[in-house]
Amino acid sequence: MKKFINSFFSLIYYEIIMRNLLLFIQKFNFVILFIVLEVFSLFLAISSNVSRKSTAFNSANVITGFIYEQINFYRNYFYLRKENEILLRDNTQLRNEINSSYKFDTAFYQLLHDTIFIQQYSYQSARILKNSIHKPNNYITIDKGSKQGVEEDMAVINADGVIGIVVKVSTNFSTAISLLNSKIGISAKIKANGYYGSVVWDGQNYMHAILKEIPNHVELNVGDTIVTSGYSSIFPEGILIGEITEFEKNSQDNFYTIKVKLSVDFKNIQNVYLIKNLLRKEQLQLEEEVIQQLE
Amino acid sequence: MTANLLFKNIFIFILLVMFQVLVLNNIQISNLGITPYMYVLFIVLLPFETQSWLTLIFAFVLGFIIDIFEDTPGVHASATLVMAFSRPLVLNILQPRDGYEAGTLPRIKFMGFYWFVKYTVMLIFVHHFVYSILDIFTFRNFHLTLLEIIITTAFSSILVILSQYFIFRKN
Repeated sequence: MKKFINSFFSLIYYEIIMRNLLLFIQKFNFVILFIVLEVFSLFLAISSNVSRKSTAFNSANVITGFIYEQINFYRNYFYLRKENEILLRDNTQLRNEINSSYKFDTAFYQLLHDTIFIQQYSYQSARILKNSIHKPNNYITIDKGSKQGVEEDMAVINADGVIGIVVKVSTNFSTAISLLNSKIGISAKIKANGYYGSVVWDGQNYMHAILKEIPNHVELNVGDTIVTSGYSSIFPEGILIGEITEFEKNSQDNFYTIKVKLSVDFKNIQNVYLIKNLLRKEQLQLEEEVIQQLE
Repeated sequence: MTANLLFKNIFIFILLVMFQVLVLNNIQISNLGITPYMYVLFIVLLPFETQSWLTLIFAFVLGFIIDIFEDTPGVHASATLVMAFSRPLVLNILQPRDGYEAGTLPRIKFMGFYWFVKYTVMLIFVHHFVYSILDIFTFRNFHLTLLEIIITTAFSSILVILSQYFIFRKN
């Protein structure tokens, strides 16, 4: 009998708790719904801010990629003239470099079938579907994906210089992190004397970036050319980044702060080259092995 | 909401998303990086009687779609949600002495120009504040960020108010 009464009361008790809970949810459903949705969105926002690779809902997405491709198809007509000029310039430069434009100056020569050189970088052309310049962190969507052989960590350049690095690849599209992004630094050197540092963007202006880590004792001139250093295993050596417009000595840390005018006009990029470093895996593996062995 | 009204709102929804993604996102005012966000107009124009939870759902879906196009996961969604959350509060503050009449909508025609400006600027400021903080993700140079928020709010508000005279004249 006692047992029965006990269970009866606990049932009523349970009933009361449940009813109160339901009343609570009914009364505050607005607040609860808000908190649930907001926490979800904030989680997405913050996690994507912390790690650049975890952007799950980016525009490499099939649907948005398709829409941007359609828009670009029409928009490209407006830039045809400019693009042709760039291609023409590029072609002239390349024609100047091929063998047929050189004349051998010696009396006799022997043709070498070269086994000394192996190809390290392979180039591939692509088109930009979406680009932004005015956000604190800018990304670029490219119309080639894993189906066309694009991989993560490929370099993105155009005829004018460095543009960015591929960070995420889907089947037919890929997303690159632009040089105009606070989350990357590109290893660069001063062409004249070989001192190297890294180029980062300060988020101010799409035409300028900052070159850091050049020691105070180096002699600099306004107009010095900045190129990639080739140390990063992503960019080949000597790709143009920009030229020095201003520099000042930092009294605190013995390094210059150098303002670099970027050679690429980020407001107007359409066609790009993607560069794959064929020896990258080997290089990274070796570097890792050394670190593991010595530490 | 009746089926007819829901249908009309979905049409406005799609129109605003398209306009934001295809036109406004390509606009940049000055080097500060100011893009007007007009898509919030959808939340602003919802009828007074809209259930608040429905406003939240609309806000979330709207923000999320803009996020997908802008590559900013969760940022627009958070900002639009906070804005939708504060809408009942703003409506409460701006309530006329004898409450909102049945059958009126938050439009200039019903509520007057000054009421609409106050209402729009308050809501859009909340949205842009949350958006900028999350997007820039730092409190460094806060005065610059604040300036940016104020200028963007001004531009978006002007767009929203102008839209009342040119596009949404009939309703």
